Amino acid sequence: MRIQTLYIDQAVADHPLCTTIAARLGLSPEPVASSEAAYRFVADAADPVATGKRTLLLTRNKGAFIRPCPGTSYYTCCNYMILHIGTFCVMDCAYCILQSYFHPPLLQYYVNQSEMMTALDTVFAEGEIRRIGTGEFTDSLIWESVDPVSEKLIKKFAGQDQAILEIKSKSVDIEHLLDLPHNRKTIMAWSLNTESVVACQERGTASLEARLRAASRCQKRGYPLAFHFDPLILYPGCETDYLAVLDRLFNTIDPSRIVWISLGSFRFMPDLKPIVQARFPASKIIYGEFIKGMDGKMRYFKPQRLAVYRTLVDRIRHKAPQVTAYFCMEDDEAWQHAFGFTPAEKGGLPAMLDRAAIRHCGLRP
Amino acid sequence: MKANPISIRLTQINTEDCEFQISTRQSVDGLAASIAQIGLIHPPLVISRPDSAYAIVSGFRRVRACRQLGWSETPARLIPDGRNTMEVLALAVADNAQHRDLNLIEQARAVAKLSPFFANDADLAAYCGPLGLSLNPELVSRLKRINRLSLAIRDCIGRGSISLGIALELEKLDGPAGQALAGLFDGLRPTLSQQKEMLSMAKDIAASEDLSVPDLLETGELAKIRSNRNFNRQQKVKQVRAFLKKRRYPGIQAFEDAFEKSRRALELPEAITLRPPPDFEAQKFSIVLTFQTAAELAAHVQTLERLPADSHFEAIINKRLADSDPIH
Repeated sequence: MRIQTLYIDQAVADHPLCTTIAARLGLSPEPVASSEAAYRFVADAADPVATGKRTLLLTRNKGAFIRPCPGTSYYTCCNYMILHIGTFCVMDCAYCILQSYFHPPLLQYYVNQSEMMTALDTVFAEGEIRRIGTGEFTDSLIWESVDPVSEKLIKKFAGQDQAILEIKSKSVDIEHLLDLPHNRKTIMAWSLNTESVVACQERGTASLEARLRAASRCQKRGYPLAFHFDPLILYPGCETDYLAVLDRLFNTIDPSRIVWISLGSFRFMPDLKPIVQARFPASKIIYGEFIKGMDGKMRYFKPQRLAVYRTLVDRIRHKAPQVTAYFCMEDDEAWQHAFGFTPAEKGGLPAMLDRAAIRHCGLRP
Repeated sequence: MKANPISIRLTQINTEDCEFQISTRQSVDGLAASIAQIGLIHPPLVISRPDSAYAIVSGFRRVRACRQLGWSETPARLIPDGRNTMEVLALAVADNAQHRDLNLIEQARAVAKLSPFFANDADLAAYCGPLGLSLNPELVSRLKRINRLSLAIRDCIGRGSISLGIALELEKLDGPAGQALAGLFDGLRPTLSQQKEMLSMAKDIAASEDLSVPDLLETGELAKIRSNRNFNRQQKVKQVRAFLKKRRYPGIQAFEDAFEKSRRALELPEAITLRPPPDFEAQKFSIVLTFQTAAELAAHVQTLERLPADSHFEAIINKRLADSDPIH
């Protein structure tokens, strides 16, 4: 983690985690009375996104630690719960929606983890099957070098059987997690993309080979696994490239160990386009054939994305018929076209994923 | 402020001194004819300079018209000595704005000349109100950006062929790109929404194909369309838009063409219109039918009843149109 500026919210300045993190980063922190000073520092920079990736604010999460995924209207959401450990990311993917999601974009890490653990205890006690992940507003594993939060969470989740934790990443910092007593309650997940997308659009991420190797190591240690083909980037020849990635995946990983595979095509709020143009001038991803979707986000023209979905779903079904594959934020037409059924016919997408989690992770409904 | 009526020789007026010029209007023919017939109703406003010449504050065209008429002297209104530059500029703005609406270039020129005297855009906007120039801080900021545009683009704005919004988009581009687009809009006079669409598509095509905007707009097929004498302006606008759309969205265009072909194959009467969902994104199609009599309605119902069995109809509603290649 290459942080250049470290701010510490005065409210948590005495927290031992702040001292530890500052020492690990080798930085002298600047105490601030509120988040405003850090926000202003980032917002006033020539490139706020790049500055935000080098600026860390240690603070406390003043809101809820566990929140529903902010799925949009019309399209089907999996009703995943987000565990809010921090915000933003040190990796730099051209398509990353977080560039325009946070105002301003800033790395924040929440040190009031005892409250986070209390929130988890409350959820565990509710007696409902829950799928909870840390990789929505940040990458799950980028914090491990300064605070092994995933290690703490894996141990926490191992002690119950109502919820699974999904750790979702494009990095491979897993060495310290391999021998943990995970009790199959943590799913190790990786975002996958084609070699050309990883090379050209995902700055600072682990290679595809490294991600698959890390997944294989986790498989050997008994972790349930998941993979996310999201965002799918459409370009001439992309189907061949994505099929090659699927083949590599199934040549490396035993499909019976995969809890789910998600597919989702590149979609973004219109605000992202000028940011990508300015920050990634060589990138062509925003010049795809996009229309404004029913939720106001730009999406690939539907017949184009449906064609790719169908090709990939056919391959997944051929190679791994038992794996639960699903779409992240698509409508019934996409499901019917690619899978031949709608989520409602299977009890709804959340129920489909709950069943997969129960089967692979030993949850007790 | 009281100006003193005087009569001065036209040779004493330095028309090269443009410190207070706001107006962009050039032609004096109509004005000269008017002055020749009814005289100079509103004498120009001038200020004396240390070199004993006069500078025009307001009335550049009137002075040129008088010269064109061969006058040797003209009545004028002389601003008393002792007025500072800001006060004189205010008179120039007011004298123009109180007789007509200033165009965008004139407003931008007024803002550029007055802004050095104000600490912020809000103060400048407030000052301009009583002068007859209705501004707000946001507009002041936008007008300042106009002054950074090339002369060619400012001329287009002055002629009204491009709007302020479009001009500010052009200002973000490199000079040749902005000028190429301004030239396209000035020549074809598309509507504002058409300009926005063309601008967006041209920028995207150039960026995605590593082309320059001038190369895209001024060579190849687009150059042929623009120079084709057999097309009128509206036809050229239509052809240019179609060309840009096909180049920017080839898959969508192919799909829409295939949809139209299938829709025609249904041989629906004019009174029945089959409409796809916007951008083919949602799932619901609609059919609109119009009729005057029960017999017409009955005939339409018969037509509708045959649709579900029609293979073209099935292809349409399933969005599986054979002629379109979705990705390439």
